[in-house]
Amino acid sequence: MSLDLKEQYEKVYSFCYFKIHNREAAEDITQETFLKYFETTKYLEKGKKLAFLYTIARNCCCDYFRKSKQTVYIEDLSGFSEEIPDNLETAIVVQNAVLKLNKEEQEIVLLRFVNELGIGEIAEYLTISRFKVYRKLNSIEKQLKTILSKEDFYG
Amino acid sequence: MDKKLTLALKQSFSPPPTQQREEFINYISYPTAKFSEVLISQIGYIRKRVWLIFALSACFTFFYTKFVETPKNIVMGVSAVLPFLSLCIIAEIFKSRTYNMEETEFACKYSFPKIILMRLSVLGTASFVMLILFVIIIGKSDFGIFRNTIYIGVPYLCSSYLSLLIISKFHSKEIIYVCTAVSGAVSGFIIVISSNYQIIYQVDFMFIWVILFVTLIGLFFYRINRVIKSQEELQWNFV
Repeated sequence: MSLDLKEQYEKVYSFCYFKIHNREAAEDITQETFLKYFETTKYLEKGKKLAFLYTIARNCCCDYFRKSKQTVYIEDLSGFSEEIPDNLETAIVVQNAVLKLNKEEQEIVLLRFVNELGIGEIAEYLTISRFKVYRKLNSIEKQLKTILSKEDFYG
Repeated sequence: MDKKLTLALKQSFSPPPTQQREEFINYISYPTAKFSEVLISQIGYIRKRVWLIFALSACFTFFYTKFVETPKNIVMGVSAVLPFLSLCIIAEIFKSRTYNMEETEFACKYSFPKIILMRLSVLGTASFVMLILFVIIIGKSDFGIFRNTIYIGVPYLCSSYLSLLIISKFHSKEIIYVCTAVSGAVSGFIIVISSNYQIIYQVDFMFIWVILFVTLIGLFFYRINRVIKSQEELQWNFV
């Protein structure tokens, strides 16, 4: 794991937020994730424990869904930060395209392209082989290109 | 995945900013690694090429001694290789400077000089083991362990000292090429001297070798100390 706790906090928060779409709850879950993580692991162990961190985050999100019975707050559905992105239309198109993927593929998109996890870490998190992750990424790319080309994303 | 799509994915999934990050990070106490764990972790930061060069040097020496009969030529061959061994160690220590890593390493719990000292310890221990290995391998040279140690130690220490001196005086990133040239020059010098003046390996000249060895050891450790202290000054300047 990177030595930068702030950076990992942001990434885990981002991961939780796009799972549960609730800012406050996402931050609570992020903090709970780190507390649970540090109960069992020394922070300065590098590399392979990142998958463990995200596994804890995912399990905490599942617990949240069970407890809250999936209450979703309307203002959080947009998934954007308070600053409106420069290309709002593109962002909406891309988000909608990703939503058409299955849950696992959406998770892979989030981990790989938003949180910039390595292939090995994603493989460990999903408990699949690296080869399978590569195949899934190729499949995701093809699907997204098909969907986005209909939306005139490539001009 | 194409760059446009990758960038669009990253920009499209930007969550609202966190509100309690600083408070949480200041509050949380997490278990930290022990000094010994950090020291051992430094082995992982040493590039694999260093260990590969060590292994290749050992293999070369082993097979070289199989085919060379003359004791002096065995020592000459091994002496010529060792400056390059010291070069890869020096290069490893100063990759931090080459890649401007000082800033990120200052953020570590352990200070930059301590990190450098840890890496020096790891590399120094490894090179010490390598030198012992070489002394054992060239044991058939009939010079004896003491003389073998002196004969192969002098070019190694000479190359190390000169490289450290150059790196401490000049701060360009390309200075490692100068160090490479110095190692090559020391190696070439040994080959030339050993080929044309084999008399220097006689017992009568042993006292010169010993004086050189002791002087170079003193200079080497003095230079190492200066290098570590200069990193401390750099840290304070940065702050």
